[in-house]
Amino acid sequence: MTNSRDYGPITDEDLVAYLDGMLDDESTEHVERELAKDRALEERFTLLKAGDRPFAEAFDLLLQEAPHRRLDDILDRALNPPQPVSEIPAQTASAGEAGSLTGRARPWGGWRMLAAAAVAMAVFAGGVLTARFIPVPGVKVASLPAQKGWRAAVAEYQSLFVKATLENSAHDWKAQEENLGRALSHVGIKLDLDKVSVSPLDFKYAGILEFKGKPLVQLAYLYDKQTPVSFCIIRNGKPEDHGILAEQRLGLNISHWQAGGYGFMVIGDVPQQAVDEIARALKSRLS
Amino acid sequence: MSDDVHEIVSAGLKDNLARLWRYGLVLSGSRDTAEDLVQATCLRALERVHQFQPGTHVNRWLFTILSSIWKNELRSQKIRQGTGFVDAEEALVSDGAEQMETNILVREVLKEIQALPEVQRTTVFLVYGEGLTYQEAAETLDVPIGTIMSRLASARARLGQLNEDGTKRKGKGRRG
Repeated sequence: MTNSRDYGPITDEDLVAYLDGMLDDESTEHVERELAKDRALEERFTLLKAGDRPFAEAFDLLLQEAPHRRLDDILDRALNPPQPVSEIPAQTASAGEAGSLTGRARPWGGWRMLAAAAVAMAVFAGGVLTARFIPVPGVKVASLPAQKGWRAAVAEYQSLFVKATLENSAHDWKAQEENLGRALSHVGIKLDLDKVSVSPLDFKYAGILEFKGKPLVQLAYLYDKQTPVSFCIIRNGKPEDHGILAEQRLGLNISHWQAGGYGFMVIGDVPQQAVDEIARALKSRLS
Repeated sequence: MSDDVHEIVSAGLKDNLARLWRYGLVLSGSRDTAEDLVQATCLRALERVHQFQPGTHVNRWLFTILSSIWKNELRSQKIRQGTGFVDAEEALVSDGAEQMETNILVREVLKEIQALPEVQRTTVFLVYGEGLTYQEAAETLDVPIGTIMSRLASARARLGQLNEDGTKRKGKGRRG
């Protein structure tokens, strides 16, 4: 497929193609002729030949070490996304959904659970496996290991989001209102779409999650129509309130506060100042 | 028709999960990121099932998707997080008892491969690990075939040099 028919100087690339058996007969003969009479070329050839390794054997070893069960789970979740919460009868939403999502024993870290939700959500958003228009791409997620805080888990979840994840969400205001209302009812909060709409954020959808048995809601937005930003609320019951604090996790900027038994956070790959401003605007509307 | 294509892609994903993970590991040097890449590839492939051309190799299509996700989305994120390009010692070489029983030479080879620059490592993997032709590797990585050849030559020169250096070191050791 590759040849050196122009018979210019033979390069390292030609020699490697020769070693790999990728030259046609004519070029192979040419390289062999040159090797026989050019000492410097032969030395170069010897060096490149010494760069051979049992590559296939080495890479096969990695194949044996693949986490097959977890990979099967990943595909399974992508192929069989959980039902939207809106389609699950209220009294079975907890136990019933746990059967399909959290009932499977799996050795995943917490964020992986959330990550699986991202896949399900994005598949919903893409409308591949379900109808094109799904107003509530929410899922419930299993509890997470004790060592991780909710903001860490959300940060890891958020880090999986790209613009395309959110682009196909419903645009219809009424559907978004319904989606938002259902999601917020999960944490016992009532807010209309106007209240959670803060410039330059474009609301995309509200997703229902769960962290260590505590209800968690994610309001997903695109910032300047480009960058995913989320406003998350967890009903964690913590008694100590605190004002807005800034932090960074996984390269994402966060502003978070605690009030009235709820934890709040705004997170995204946008400047800290922008995150702070969004957090202040949302906080004032909530109080 | 679209159901057929969906089945082909689904079956292709199922058959290639471990290979995709391995490719993700070679690209990122991180087992967790490799899983993320498989996850994102599953999602993207199912989203774009209509773009798959029946009769072509589904595994190569999936590899192309994974390459693209790494290159355009996750790579910069991992670098920003400082979690890309980990040391050779901890990347391709696994932990656990299994490692102890494995051929030491092969482990050494994995270390050497991991120490290659990312573009060389990836190309070596596709051509020598996955058995792709130069042209197929070029299409998977969306680079000219000359780039593939150049990367392979650089990788082999580098690995060849390691042999030479090793020989010299041993020679000095013996003399000392």
